[in-house]
Amino acid sequence: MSKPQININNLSYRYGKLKVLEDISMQVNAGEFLGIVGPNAGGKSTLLKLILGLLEPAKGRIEVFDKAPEDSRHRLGYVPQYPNFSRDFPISVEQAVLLGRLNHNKSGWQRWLPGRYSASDKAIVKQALEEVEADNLIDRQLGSLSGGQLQRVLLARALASEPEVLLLDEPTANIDQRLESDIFDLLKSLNDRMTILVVSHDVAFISSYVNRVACVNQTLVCHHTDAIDGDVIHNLYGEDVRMVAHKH
Amino acid sequence: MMDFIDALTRYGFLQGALIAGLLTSIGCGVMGSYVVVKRIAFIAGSIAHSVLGGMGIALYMGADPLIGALIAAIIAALLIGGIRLYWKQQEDTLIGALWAIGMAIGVIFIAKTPGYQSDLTSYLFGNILLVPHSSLWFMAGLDVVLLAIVWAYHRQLLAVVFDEEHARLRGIPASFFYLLLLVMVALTVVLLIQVVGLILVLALITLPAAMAGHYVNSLHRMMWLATLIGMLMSFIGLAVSYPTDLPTGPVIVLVTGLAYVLSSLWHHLRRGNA
Repeated sequence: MSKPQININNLSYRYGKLKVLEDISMQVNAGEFLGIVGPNAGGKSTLLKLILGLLEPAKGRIEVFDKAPEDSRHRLGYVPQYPNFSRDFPISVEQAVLLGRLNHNKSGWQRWLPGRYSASDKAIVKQALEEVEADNLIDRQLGSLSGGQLQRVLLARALASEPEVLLLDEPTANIDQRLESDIFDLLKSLNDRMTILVVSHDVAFISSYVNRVACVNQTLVCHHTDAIDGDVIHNLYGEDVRMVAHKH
Repeated sequence: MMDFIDALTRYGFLQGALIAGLLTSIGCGVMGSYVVVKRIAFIAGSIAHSVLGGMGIALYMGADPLIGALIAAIIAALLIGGIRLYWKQQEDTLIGALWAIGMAIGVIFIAKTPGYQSDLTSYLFGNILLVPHSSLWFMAGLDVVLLAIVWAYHRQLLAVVFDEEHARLRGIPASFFYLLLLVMVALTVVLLIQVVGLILVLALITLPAAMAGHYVNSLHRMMWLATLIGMLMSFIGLAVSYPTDLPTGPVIVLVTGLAYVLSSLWHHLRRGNA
């Protein structure tokens, strides 16, 4: 078996004195579609940020492609739960997605070079927008998009950097429920060529898409590695997570 | 108006004032756009006011106050950037403290400087009519430096002002570019001090860019339009202040402020009807 793409060992994280994550160990292998579930404030988003190297673990170790997260993050794509920009920022969809092309595959001193976007950067952006079915939005202002459209554009920005692993934080939390399955169908098809980690609070819904689930509530409550079909996961983890949620 | 044009062709000091206004409009239009979209007007204000400390010390030591302003502006920008990056919880208190402490240092050193001390008001409110020719070259040089950096690194700067976390994930040295941005804002402040003085600097950095933001939908168009608006406001301000014998810097600020209010109303009405 090949080495895991993400390797987490005895990881703990604290926010001030508050324990957020405690002694987490898990591996993610190439080609997986992993659901990270658990109650609100259970540390799911924190786990993603630790994998991305945006936070420093208090204890333990994370390796991404056998390196520190900071040194591998250019191989990861990330779709945050809430956009980090103000909605009235004067920027078009194309310009925003082009930012995903910055420093593509560049390391060390090359990151400091000035420059412009190439024709191939623009072609890849167009392709990424087509893939998420948002190519008709390319000239729109970012601020004029609906929640669902914005989510697709953020996904396109992550895809434009041609990631090997895609991490998504509650990708359907801010959009219409009827669009939820559209987004997950799309992720399912992307899973043919990249590993996917998706954070969600909705175990029942994601169980029919993912092939493995990790339940996080400060510790790793459950972590099943066998491939099981959707119904079984729902029965097992539906109970588990309800139990966890009542454990106050 | 014709009188003003006539005077402009005859008097060197008016020509110098107009050139100073046009040169500062370039720095304001470009850097003001970053300040407005990144929402760091308070930071720009703090840099502007704490610059008085450097001017006071330079004056006390018998050096050129403009050099003191330049050094103080860069130190203030780096301090504020450091506070934001490493001490975020106290950010607004510390930035406010720097604002006042810088000014206090300046006032004390100016008071202790022997000799004639009427210069304080001209630092606080500027005097565009007394800008010497050497300063015009200094301003043009600062504009060239600002434009060269923006031209070379516009993608990185956009990434950092738009979404710092994403910029960091893309491997951009985000902290470096954020500090660079603040240093460039500091240079713009120094550019403006002679024209409107450090108290009125903030208006000319933010208002033309905010006004441009009403009409365009990309950062580089915002920079172009803000520069043109700034130039127009400097011209109108100068033309109004000359025959009425009012202080030019404050008149430019008032004209710009009035235009901003009208533009905001127009923008609001237009969007409300759309």
